[in-house]
Amino acid sequence: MKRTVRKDFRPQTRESSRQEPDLSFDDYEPEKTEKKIGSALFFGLLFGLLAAFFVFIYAPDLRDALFRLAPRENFVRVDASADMQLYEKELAKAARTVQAKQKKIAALIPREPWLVIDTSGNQIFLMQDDQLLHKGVCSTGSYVLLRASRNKQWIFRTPRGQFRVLNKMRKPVWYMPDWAFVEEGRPIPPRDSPLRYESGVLGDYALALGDGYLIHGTLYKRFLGMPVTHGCVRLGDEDLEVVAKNMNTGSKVFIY
Amino acid sequence: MNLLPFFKNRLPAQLVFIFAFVLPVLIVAVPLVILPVQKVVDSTSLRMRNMRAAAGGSGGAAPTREMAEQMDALRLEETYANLLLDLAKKDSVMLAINLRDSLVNLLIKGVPVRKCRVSSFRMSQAIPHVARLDSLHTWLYPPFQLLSESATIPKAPIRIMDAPKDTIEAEAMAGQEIPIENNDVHFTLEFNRNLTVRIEQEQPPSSSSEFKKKFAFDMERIFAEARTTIRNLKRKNLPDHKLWIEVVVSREDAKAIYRAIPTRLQMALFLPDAD
Repeated sequence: MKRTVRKDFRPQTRESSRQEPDLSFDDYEPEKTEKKIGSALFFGLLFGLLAAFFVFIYAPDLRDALFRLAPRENFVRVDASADMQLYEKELAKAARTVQAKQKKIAALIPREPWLVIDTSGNQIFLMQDDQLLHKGVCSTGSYVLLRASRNKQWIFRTPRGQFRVLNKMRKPVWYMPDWAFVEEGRPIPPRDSPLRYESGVLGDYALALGDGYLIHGTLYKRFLGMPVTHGCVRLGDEDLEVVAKNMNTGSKVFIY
Repeated sequence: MNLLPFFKNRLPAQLVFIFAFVLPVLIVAVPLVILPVQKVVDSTSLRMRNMRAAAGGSGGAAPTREMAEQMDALRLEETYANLLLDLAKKDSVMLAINLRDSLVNLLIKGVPVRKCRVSSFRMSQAIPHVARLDSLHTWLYPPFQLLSESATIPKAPIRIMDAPKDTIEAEAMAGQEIPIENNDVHFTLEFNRNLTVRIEQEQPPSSSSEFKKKFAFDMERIFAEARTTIRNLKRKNLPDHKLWIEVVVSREDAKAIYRAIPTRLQMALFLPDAD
């Protein structure tokens, strides 16, 4: 039997809106209800499992959100049996200890000029105490792995850490290592061969850091600011002049 | 609480839907979200109850709350100073994250060789809970030790080149262009004592490929955490909540930090004020 529904356009009161729906047992269709329950179970589980997957994946974020809601006590430990005057003395002592330790930390900064080399940005910073004296560009290790044979290879990287200027040279002459010949496709001469010595390519000064690593000048100024070297630090003429004038044997160089 | 009005007009299908939806969510949420949080909060409040009991005294001229707070602050500063002095004994590059001054410092022998300004930072909401514990000092000291790291850029941009056979080949190789790195930098450092530090660049993704790379990086992190959760559940343990700190710095700073830090990195951490 088809039922016609008539719309009621009268304004509804609170009472009428709360009225129970007019259900009668004549409308009850068990198959239809069972089907509805079946679909509700299916879709409920489907969406529930989907939501559970996201809860599983984002559990750390949800935990964090829950921590925000968790009650937090603004609690400070106060020993009520302590004497205030003694506590004040303890406070002053603690403040002095902190100050002493902070002084110790500040004393770690070198007093004489020191150089910082940033290998990722290819920059240098000449410092005095904690003040910047000069900033410039440089070239550092290229990270090229040069393979000559299975057993012979070199990686061109600038070492990191704290170094000291071991030697300051004016008008340095370059002693070419084996890789310089391998890289140019030339045969490697004997160790004492005059072919190994080349002058004028390292600029006006060279500061030795040990293990053959130098801070020196360059002929390839267009490469300054790029990682192109074989591990040494190349500077432009002006920067090299400033660095060489301020840094002495024993001065600290920090490379990171 | 009378729940009858809620259920009164609900059709059975609706109730079944709600039940079927909520059941799997609760099965996952209770052991993975609710119980681990409960564990931390309970341990915090238990500790505080014990401390309160210990604090009950004669009630004479006791130190004020301000004095106690001052003492706590001084103890934290001393811990940080001790951390920096410990790091100064190491030869390699070390990291100091000072969230109070919004600075990330690279240190060599205790000398700050790069000071990176933190543009913003976020941290796990669990940290303030832990920070209230008396055990904060033992969590911060000694320095955190790096366990693993992952990043969107390689640690060292190594290029492999085979040696030229002769000078002609060498000349041809010398003419090759030098690759310029312009990648976005995001990296994660996993430390001991359940701490994770995420360093993000403040600049937006430079290209769609970098955005995809960042998305893949984040997904990898999320799935790695999911794998850890599964491993914990297999051992019938509740998952530990990772204490994380996310620090946003410039791309250049992020790159410099990531490239500089060694595999055996140690880190000092100075937390911001409680409120």
